[in-house]
Amino acid sequence: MKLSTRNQIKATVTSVSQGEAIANVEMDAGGQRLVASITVEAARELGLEAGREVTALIKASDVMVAVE
Amino acid sequence: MLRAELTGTLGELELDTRLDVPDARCLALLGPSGAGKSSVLRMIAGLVRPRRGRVECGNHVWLDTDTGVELAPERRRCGYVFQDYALFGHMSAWRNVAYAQRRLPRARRHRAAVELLDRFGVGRLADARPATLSGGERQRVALARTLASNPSALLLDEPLSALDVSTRAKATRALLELLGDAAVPTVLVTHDFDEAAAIADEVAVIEDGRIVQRGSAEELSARPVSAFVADLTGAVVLGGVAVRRPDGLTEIALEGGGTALSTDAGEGRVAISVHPWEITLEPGAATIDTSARNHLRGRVSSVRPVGNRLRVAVEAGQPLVAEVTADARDQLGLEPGRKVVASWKATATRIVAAGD
Repeated sequence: MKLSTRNQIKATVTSVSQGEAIANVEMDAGGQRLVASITVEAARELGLEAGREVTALIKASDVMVAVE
Repeated sequence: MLRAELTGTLGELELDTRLDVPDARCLALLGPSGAGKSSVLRMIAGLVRPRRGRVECGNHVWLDTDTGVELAPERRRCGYVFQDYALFGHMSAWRNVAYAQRRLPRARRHRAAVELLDRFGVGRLADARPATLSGGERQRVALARTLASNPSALLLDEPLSALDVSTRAKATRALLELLGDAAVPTVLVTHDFDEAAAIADEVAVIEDGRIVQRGSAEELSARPVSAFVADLTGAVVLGGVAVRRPDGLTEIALEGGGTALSTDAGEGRVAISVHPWEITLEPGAATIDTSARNHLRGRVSSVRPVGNRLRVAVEAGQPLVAEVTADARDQLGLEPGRKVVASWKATATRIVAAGD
């Protein structure tokens, strides 16, 4: 995928919960849970529903690193 | 605590500014040139008289035009760091510092001055004349001299702007040391948001002689009250006309062409503000189907390093800036002239009051 976004993570949608304008999309990426807040419009246009294969895009500047 | 209430006319500008800075805190006055920020400093220091005003520091009133109090500049205990440092060229570094220690007995001045220079890492340059010093070294001598006067307030006028990028990080640390040592109220004047964010505890944005927003650098960046403030923080600011849609989103017809969606509310003439690090670039003209609602097509106009990232300027009917890694630039060939699509999320799109 030719995008400047450095983190492109294959995932499967596990649930989509819709608010008025914003939808929270939960995904499973090889056992890791990811959540995206996107518009309801985007969720509908992309046909996001449980089971759909997607790619989660996260810019490098948005990733924090923690150690235990 | 330093408090100032100042009104006056400066050429075309009507200055009307109130500020208060607690002890050991630094307030940055951020604004473009001509906004009146340096005049505020000069009025606090007593170098310019406001038409009406009051300045007090601790329990001392420096100026009160209502009661006729007006202390001369040398009796206001403020350490003023000028943009060009204003060192005496005919004096060695230590004599420059000692000049501010005239209250000390003559015999003790040399040792005290060298000690202060040492504190800023330039003790070995005590006998050098300012002309032989680098910009960073001159700054340190000026800071040592400022501390030598044992000030009860610090006034810093663009203290880093005379330095090149490579010495700025070190000079910033030296300034923070000065602020920590002096532990007095400090007013920093700058046109550079990053400088304000690096040094000050709080930032007050001054526009046409008035403070229009005051808060932490993070607050200003996340919730600018106007296009003017957003622009100063380095955000991409685009003008347009907003319409509320039935689904709760706001659609903005952009002045430079195209539309944008925002999850913020807005109506009529507005500006949108997006941070460069929220914008993703895709080379070519086709858009991959993503959830990002906002896409503008354009061409890369310049690529400039900022820290270890790159700021890619894109002309897309309106100027945009995206922040990407060097790795992304290399892999996608993001060079000037390259056609790209810039994308960002509706949830990352802030609606702010339009500028003039």
